[in-house]
Amino acid sequence: MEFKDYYKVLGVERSASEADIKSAYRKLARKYHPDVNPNNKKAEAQFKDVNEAYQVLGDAEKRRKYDQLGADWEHGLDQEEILRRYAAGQGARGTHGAGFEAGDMSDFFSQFFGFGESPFTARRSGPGHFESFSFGTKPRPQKAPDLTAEVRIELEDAVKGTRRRLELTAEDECPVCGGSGMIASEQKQGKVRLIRSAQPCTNCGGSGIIPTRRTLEVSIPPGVTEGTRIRLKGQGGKGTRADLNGDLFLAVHIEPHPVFAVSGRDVRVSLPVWDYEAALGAEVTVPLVGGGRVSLKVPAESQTGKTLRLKGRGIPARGAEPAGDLMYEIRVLAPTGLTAEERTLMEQLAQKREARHVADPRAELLRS
Amino acid sequence: MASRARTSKRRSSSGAYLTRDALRAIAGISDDQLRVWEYEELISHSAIMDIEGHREPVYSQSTLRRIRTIRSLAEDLGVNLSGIGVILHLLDRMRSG
Repeated sequence: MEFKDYYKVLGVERSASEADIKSAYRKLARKYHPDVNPNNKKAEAQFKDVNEAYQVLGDAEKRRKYDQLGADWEHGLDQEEILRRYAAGQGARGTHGAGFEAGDMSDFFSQFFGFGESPFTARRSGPGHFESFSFGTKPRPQKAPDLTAEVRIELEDAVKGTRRRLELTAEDECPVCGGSGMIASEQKQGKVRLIRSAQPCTNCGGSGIIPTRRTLEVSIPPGVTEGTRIRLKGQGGKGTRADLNGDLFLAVHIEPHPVFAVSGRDVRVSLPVWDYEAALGAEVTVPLVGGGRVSLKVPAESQTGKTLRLKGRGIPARGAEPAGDLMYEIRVLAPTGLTAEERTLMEQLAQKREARHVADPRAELLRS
Repeated sequence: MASRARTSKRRSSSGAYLTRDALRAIAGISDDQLRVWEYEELISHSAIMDIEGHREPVYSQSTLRRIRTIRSLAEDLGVNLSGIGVILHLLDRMRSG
């Protein structure tokens, strides 16, 4: 490995200011840019050298270390000794700049400035990077994929809870290739196992996944609502270890009910009453969510649209969510199939109300 | 630091690293694609290793899963590279949190 004189590459003095270095870099980068010199290998190499030089000299900290490194080099110190000093004493903490690729850096740069904290460990973190590790330790294993399934239940089941048998296809990790889809030829490189070539796994056809039909008996607790997601830990894709199994997420859907309309945790029912029941008040028998009946008092002079609420009798509470209400919305019906006598009575009622000038219900409409 | 080759044919496991060639072969992607994704910092090598006298970047096996995610986002959902970067960043944060 040769010492690279970055000052020479940029054509600046060792005492050059940051602005001079930047200016020299820009000038040379424009001159050797691959877009300006298509298919010119020499220009491309020079462009890479210029970039590399600027990566070091354009950064005050790296430049300081580079100057120290240059002095050691000139004093004829052994390369390994320089490397050791450099790693132990200063630790090049450089990261490669935007626009750079690993393969574009010289051996010299990689050894002293590139890609890791020091030439002896490799540690990357932050957005877009992987978990940190050092040579000799294993990267954190990944969980098998999660699985989602839908389950449709009746409203009664949402209130009381139920058990369901589900048939689903899980994506288990292939036990032969460990989910990579390939059978790799490994070799030992110090403490590290290195894969240099690979063939598609014949067991899973290269997908890394074995679709497996599975039957599960799941318990749906009382109080679920439309869209509730139930997490069943470890029931998703099968990983290489039990603790790496994926989870199963069950999305609950409630089938529409002919009588009850569910809105969140509240439940609404349309309650038809005869006009005389609405006028005089009545005690009517009404259904409850989840079965059963209850007697409900309709107050006198109730109108269509009036809501009678049974608090906490909707979908039951679950976790922090309180129980919903059951609401009966009154719908007043005019009597039909009147007998002659009933008709006479109705006429008498109409005449009496007219005689005492009861307010016209359409007065609001005629006002404008 | 020359490679002490003790090659054995066995299944890959989570503790192994892949060379660039092996990564491309397993993931089924071109070198250009890999370069672009690295340029956009969607993926990154985990270390530089000396392999038979050449210093080469090597990748952890989690990179394969990451490439699967990138391909799925790009090819199935039509997400662009910037969008993929944001999604991967969020996924990384979710996993680390």
